[in-house]
Amino acid sequence: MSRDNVLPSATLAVSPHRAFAELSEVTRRPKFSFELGRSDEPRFREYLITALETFVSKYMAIFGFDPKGFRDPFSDRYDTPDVRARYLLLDSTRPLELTYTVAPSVENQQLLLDRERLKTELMAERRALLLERRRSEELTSENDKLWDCMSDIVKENQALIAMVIAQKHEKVCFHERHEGEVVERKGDQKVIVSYRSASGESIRQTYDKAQFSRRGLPEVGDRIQAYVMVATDRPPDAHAATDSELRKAFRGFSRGKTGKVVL
Amino acid sequence: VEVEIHILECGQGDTLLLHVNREKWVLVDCNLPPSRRGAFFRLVEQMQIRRLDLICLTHPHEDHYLGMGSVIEHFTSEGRSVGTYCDTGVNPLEIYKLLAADPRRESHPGEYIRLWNVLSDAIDNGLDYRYAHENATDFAFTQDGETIKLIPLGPSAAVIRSSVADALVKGKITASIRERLNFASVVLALRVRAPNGQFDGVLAADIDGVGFCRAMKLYCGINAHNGDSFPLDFVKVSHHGSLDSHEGSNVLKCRKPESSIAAISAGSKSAVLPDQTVMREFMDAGWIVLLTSKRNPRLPSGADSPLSLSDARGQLGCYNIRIHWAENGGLSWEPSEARVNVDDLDAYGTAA
Repeated sequence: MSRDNVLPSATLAVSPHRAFAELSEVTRRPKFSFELGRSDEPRFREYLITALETFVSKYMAIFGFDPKGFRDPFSDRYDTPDVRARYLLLDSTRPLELTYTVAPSVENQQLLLDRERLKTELMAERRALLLERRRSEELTSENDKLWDCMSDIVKENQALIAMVIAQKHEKVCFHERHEGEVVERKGDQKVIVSYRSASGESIRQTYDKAQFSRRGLPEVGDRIQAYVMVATDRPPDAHAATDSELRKAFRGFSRGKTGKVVL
Repeated sequence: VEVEIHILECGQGDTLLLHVNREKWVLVDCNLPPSRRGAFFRLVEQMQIRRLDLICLTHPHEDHYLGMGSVIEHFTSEGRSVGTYCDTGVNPLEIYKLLAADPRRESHPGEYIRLWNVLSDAIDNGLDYRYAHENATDFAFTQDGETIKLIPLGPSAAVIRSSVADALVKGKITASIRERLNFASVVLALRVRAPNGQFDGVLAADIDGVGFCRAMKLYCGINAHNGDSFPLDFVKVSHHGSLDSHEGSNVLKCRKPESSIAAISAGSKSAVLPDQTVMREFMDAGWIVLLTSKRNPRLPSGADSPLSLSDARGQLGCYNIRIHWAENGGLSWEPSEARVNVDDLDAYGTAA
């Protein structure tokens, strides 16, 4: 079978547009096939060249290959009649199908492998980072809880220290203990506690969430006990000074003088 | 005739020592918490100070009187002595009421009572106690009464009384009420009129800008000078270089044509002291600006002088400033690291 006898009977079953569409699905497979049908030779050649040009440019755009690195059998023959002959010769056993395999050069293959390796490493790093981040969030959450605990302890300590200092400076007037009940809860921010005074009156006191420890707000109906220290509001330093001490300390004041002094 | 001014780095506040004619010593204010008192007493031993001829408390804020009771006690024992003590003349009971009402623990009313306890004992034993407000007292260092003088320039007794009374009326002490006591700060002028030269220095304590302006008018009058500013060799900048104490003060116009020094004692970092704008304006006007502490990390921090009292000098790079003026030697200062350069200014904040 001569070459001239075969070509007129071939047609391009796949238009350049369809070839383009199929190419867009090509991702990692460097392989592409044209099916050839009946057609006259000039149209076939035109279609074939257009399709291959589209294929090669699209393929390179997808994989980022350098055109020089392609083993493209048509790259230097698009404008010559040998294109047709080449195809027919390549697929002489199956004249209606043309298979064209594109493979990256050795250098590009190495780059691809490196790229894949780096991608793998990146994914591993990302995963490790994600795990670390989760761990960090867990620790932060745990830390917040510890801070809350410490804050509670500090508050309690402050109350105790304030009482001890006040007692040391004899500022404490008296202690009280009141019992009451949570009678209303306003959302998750406030509760109202009703105390019963010594004279039998009901005293309502509103507490904010911030006043409670990390255990949160009590529920309606919970019994409440309040321990109150009542002390005078004089600072410790000031308390040291009684009126007689002040008179003694400041007695020099009235003896100040004015006028010229030779030192 | 010569004078030396030591501005000691003592954290926020003023501790100034004046050495007049190599024989008289003056202490103006002190901020000596218990942890620093030992260092101060070692320093005065090292400088062989056995007598403080004058102690001046410019105003009753803790960063100016803390430890003063201990200082008087120290200098009235073991053969040492204090000549004269002066303050604004405000009733200490009124001050005590303000301090006791101050919710901050730093107000130290106990220290104030201790100061007066020690002071009253010393007055009983012959200490000369003087009121140092405007037109009340002059302190002369020479027998002629004129060559070297320390002159309280103000404020007037009326301003002092109204500042304290105003604060008392308000009752509860707030930051702004505390600031009002600054209006009652004594401004001191160190005036030297020697045969071969003259020196004019002003120690502004914490006076506000308007008060400083008024003090300078008074100094113009003392020197028979027409105008509202008088050329100074030296000014200890008011209130650790705050903007409030600078605005309206007229101080920039008080520079001498040859050179003038503006020294700023350490200020609070949290309160933007010293203020970048204040230092910049001094420099723009041609003043040499010295600072007892620098926060610029680019500057050497280990160059502290042997006089430095600050516990924090390793971190802040603190210095004691020494200004020296001699009749035949002119004005000099040290250490060189204490001078602030324009490039350093960005390291400081501003309230402007």
